[in-house]
Amino acid sequence: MLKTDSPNVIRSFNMGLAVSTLLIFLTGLVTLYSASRGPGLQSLAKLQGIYFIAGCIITLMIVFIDSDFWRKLAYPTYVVCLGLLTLVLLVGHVGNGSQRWISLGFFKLQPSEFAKIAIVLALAKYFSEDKAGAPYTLKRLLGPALMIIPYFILIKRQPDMGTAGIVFLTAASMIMFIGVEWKSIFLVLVVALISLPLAYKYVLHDYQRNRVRTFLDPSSDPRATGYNALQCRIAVGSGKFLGKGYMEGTQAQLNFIPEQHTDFIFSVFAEERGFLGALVLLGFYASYLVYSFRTVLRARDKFEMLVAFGLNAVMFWHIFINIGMVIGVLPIVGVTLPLFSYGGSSMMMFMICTALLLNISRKKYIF
Amino acid sequence: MIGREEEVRDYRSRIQLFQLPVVLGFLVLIFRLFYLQVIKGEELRRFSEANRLKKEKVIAARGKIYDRNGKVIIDNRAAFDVVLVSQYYSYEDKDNERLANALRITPKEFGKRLAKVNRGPSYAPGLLKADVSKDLIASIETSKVGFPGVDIENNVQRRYPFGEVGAQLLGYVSEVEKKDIAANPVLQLGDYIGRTGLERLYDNDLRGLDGVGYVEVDARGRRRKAEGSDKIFGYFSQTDPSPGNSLYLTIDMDLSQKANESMRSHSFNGTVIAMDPRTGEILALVNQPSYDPGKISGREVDPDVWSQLQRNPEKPLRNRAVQDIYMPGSTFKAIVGIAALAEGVAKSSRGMDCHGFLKTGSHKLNCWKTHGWTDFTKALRESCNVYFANLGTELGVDRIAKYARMFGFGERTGVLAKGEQKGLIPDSDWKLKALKEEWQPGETLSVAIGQGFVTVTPIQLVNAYATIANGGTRYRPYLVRRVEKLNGELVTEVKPEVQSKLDLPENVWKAVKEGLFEVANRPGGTAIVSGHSKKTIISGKTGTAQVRGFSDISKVKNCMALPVRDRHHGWFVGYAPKDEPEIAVVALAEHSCHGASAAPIVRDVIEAYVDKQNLEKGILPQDEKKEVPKVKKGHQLPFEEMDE
Repeated sequence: MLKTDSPNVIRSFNMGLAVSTLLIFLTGLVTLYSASRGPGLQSLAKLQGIYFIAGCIITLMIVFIDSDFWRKLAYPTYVVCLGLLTLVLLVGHVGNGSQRWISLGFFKLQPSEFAKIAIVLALAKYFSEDKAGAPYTLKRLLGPALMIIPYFILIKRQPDMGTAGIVFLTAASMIMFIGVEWKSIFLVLVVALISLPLAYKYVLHDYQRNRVRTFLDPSSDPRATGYNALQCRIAVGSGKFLGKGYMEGTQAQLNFIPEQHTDFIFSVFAEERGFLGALVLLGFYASYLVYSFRTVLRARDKFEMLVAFGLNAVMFWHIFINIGMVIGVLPIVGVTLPLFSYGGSSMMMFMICTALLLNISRKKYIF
Repeated sequence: MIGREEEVRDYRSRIQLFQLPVVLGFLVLIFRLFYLQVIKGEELRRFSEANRLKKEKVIAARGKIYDRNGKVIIDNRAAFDVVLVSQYYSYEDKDNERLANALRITPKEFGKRLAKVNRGPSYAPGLLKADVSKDLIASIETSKVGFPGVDIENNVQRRYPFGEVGAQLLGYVSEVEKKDIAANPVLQLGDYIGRTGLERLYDNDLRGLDGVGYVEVDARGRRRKAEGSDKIFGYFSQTDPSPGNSLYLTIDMDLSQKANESMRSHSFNGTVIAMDPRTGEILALVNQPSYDPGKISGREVDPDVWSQLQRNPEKPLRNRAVQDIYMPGSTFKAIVGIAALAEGVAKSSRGMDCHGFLKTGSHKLNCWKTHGWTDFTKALRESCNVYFANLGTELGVDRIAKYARMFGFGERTGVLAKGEQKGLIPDSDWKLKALKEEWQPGETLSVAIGQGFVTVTPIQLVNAYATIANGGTRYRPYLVRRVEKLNGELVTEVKPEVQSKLDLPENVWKAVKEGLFEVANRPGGTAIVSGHSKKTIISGKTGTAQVRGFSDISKVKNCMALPVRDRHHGWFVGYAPKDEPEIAVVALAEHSCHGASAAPIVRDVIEAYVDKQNLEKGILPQDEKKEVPKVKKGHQLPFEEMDE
């Protein structure tokens, strides 16, 4: 049953994942072109293309690097990322009211994007080397918790609730996946339920509380906090079944949608392409997840399996939270739509994600 | 390298399990999208259309006001206001400073205005500075990118080329307030309505109907540049505004200017009204002191200017011609004279001796001089108190009142709706009701010479003399001849309206007119100098209205020695020419002491009228020196009568 290391790279390639990635990217690029017709935005589609090509080169490099390399690099990556997250708070570039970027001159690096991969790698390494194995009790989860908490706190300080949430949800997904004692799950749920109102009051920033409030009642302040949520909903809904047509979305073209090239780009797409287009795009994402889930099944060992599962979780939570907030099933948090939203760091991060998944699925044929 | 498949195998089934939340998540998204785009799609589409097209008011120009010769009295001009939508403004110190500089106001003043804008809704444009100059607009426009939320609004403002002339008659406009909208729901915020004068009275005609335009805007409410041919100026399917109607007045602005000038040159406060006794048309109506309505009709009124107008003790906003009442003084003698002749208690040929005073019971009435033998004509010419007091006693107060009312005293003329006074014509019933006292015969002496309880408005007085001038036809004084739409279509036309006809014997009119003629044209007449004209023959009557009742006769005699506010008002009311009069004029010169002070103003107006008529007929005005009729040496030049 063992195969020799095949020289045929094409055959061993997870074609479905790559094609899904390309389809999502191209749809996003076309939408970005329409969304960035405003003053000072015209070059965004071109830049996004450059990011994608750079991402492709990195992908090719990663695909052929053995996963042992990542296994060894997992903890150093974690530490480097921790350093960058600290640095960003000290010398970071401030934009849109938060401190998220480190300026590299030609490129503004957003360390929190890469933190998502770093935490996946670190947790995968931790769990794969823990000989005692599942199910975990709360006490035995202390180690992973000590890895997650600094990330969570540093990212939340920027403040970037969306990314902090993604980090938390990804880590939680991985822990659930690895297996936790039922008693512990129950205990955590009870504590969470009790502490939620307290967290709302003491942990969240004012603007975050407003977002939660306007999520629950968007008409409470249609001109200020609820404005973005309401305008997005109008944009999406006004697309109706077939959409208003490419570049015909008045909500987007008349600048009613905030951040329409980044976090809210789905509303531009849904306005132009309607319900049908939205279904097709969700189909692309579903296809991506179907192929990436296969990677989890194809994993050669626990580390690879956990990495693949963690990256799947990052992908899923991004899709769900981004579209969910745009269409009003979730409060507004700053989370990008994978491979679709404009942004170098985000694009790079998802390309690396995809590359790692491609890498892991390729190994199947090395046996 | 060999994989450790046994590590992974146990997790295969878990992986299937973890697909479930993903499927659920996608289903949630799909259901929500279906709800928004398919079920609510139509509604949200309409919402987005409304979002894109902002409804905008297209201001209807307020109607213009023309004088009787088609001269523009009030029209409109474009004005530009700087506004701020506060939710987009940065509130940074450097922006505040730059914007204050661009607006040319002090940072402190800017702070005040910003605070005021902030009191309004954050999405609605609030006024930063109204009616800015063109180069200020240019400097704002060029740096607008740096001032988010700042915009220029187009506006229409009233223009008053004649400034203060007739301001109280024409009135001013101002932006509506909440209470105006409550009173008249047709109004919208930002509309202008007339507050006083004709602007107020004819507001419904002048205001017009605003149109509705749809303008393509972005989320900041900024108008987008038009792209297609269907988007001229960015507007969609606009309903045109219908401009207000024009008013064509009976007023002659040349004459009004002359009247205003004359008032000013004599530096008296008061009022001048000129009317056509053949129709009731008001030819001029001016007051002093006055104000420039342009200064208080804009979107932004300087509070200092406003409070100064409000608080000024000389009351420049007041239309004295209709809103104030005065004792008519000796001008009332003509009415008493008519009553006496008509009732047969006097014959123009019959005379009496004036000893300089008259005593009735406890009342003692002084004449301003000892006239000696006095007949009807002389009594009017030289304004003999004793003569008319005697007639009054014979008539009794109720008969005087009856005739006074026949001339329109004691009731509103209805010429301007707001605040017109009725004045008072006392009789015995009135005194019983109002003061719960019997009428004293002595009080009739005061009434007969226009003092005491009698009060009139200047408009009533000129109308009464116009009635004398035309021989007994009392017209309703009016100001607006025609209301026309912008395209010339007639809306309303006002014709002369006869209010009453005084059917009195011809000899009554003849006797009174003779007396009034002699006042300014025969030696001894009280206005022989001040009211005499070489250009036409002016008939009229002087009068003095006491501001305060003095028991000390020396104070009455030596009026000029009194503080200004206690000095008597001077009247002159008259008409010209002598036969078939064309113009009747009243002048009230407040605190001028003598009727002779008011007479030159009336003469100026009448002569201006004559000059204009002659000019139209091709006769050039002769600017010769006014010659005083030769007076016999030793004859006392009438100073002016002093009543009481």
